Amino acid sequence: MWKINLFLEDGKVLELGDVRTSKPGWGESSPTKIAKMEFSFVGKEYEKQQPMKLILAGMKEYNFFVEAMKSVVNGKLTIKGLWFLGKIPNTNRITGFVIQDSMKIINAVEGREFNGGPTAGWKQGIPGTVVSTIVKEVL
Amino acid sequence: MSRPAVNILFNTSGNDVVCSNPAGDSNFILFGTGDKLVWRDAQQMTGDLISGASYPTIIPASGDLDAAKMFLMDFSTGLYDQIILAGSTLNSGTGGNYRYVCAAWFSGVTVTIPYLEAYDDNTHATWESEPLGDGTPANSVFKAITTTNGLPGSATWAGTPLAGTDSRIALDTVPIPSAQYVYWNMRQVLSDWMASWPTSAWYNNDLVFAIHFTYN
Repeated sequence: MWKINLFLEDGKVLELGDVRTSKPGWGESSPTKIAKMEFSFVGKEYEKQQPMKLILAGMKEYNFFVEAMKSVVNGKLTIKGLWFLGKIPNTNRITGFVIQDSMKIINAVEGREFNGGPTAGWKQGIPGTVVSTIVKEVL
Repeated sequence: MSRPAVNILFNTSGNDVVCSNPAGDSNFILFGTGDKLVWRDAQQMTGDLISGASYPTIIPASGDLDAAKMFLMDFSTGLYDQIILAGSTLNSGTGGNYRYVCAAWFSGVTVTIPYLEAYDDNTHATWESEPLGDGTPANSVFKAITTTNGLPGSATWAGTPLAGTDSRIALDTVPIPSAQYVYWNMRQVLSDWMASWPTSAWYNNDLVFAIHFTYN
């Protein structure tokens, strides 16, 4: 839970760190080509806690990052969002999800995926396989 | 990469020079927990006791007036410390074409370009209060300009109004690639129409500036 699993070209699964900590592990990881990204978390549906799974697959490239706010006045750090992005093969579009107070779907042009700006840290995917962007309840 | 440390520093000397130490140096003071930023009338001086007399800025009878002095209220020493180079010369301001005034040091990389933003309070969720434009970001009394890669360009720089994500400044042109400083200058503009605000809006202590950044 709260960790990203990367399903790789060679069949191996790479589990990253807890995204709620200061070391989510995406930046330090060096995966071979990514076939699928999965993230299990606890969401809220109809005011009830619900285990959920987010899946991105078939993307040309993948990205993940934490959005944070550091207050100048008291130094308090606030986590504002968790971003899961994928570049759709053969297009200039980026899709994915951001988990904030609620979950939103991302549909942006490359270079404008984060509030109109670009992001760094993309990792290679395996285009040519089925493209999926799914969030599902885990029963 | 893992979450970078972000240190906020202010230049309280009259020297327009880079910050040489993320923990502070002879020019820059590291902003500490409990410290505050305030703008005051010209009568307020560096070294004045925070517990002593305060000289608030005065709303002009007509038009606009830049607040005379920006201060760091240093609660570790109990003293006002002026950020001497802050502001521009617009509206009788006492600043100028100065670059190394306010600083943020990042210990490592970010995924996106970092921003300086202003919010109603520490939840960083809204920017509707009177000082932040009362719903009209262009009317925010706080204006800032990025100086990471160069001077403002003119002593009469105007800056960008700060109001949440609607109106903010990018602190660099690209995501932070490795440990580095970013810089900005800022001013507070007082306008005659502020006289219509409720008293509580004049003395709003909840406003915060925030560095908006990302990591992975």
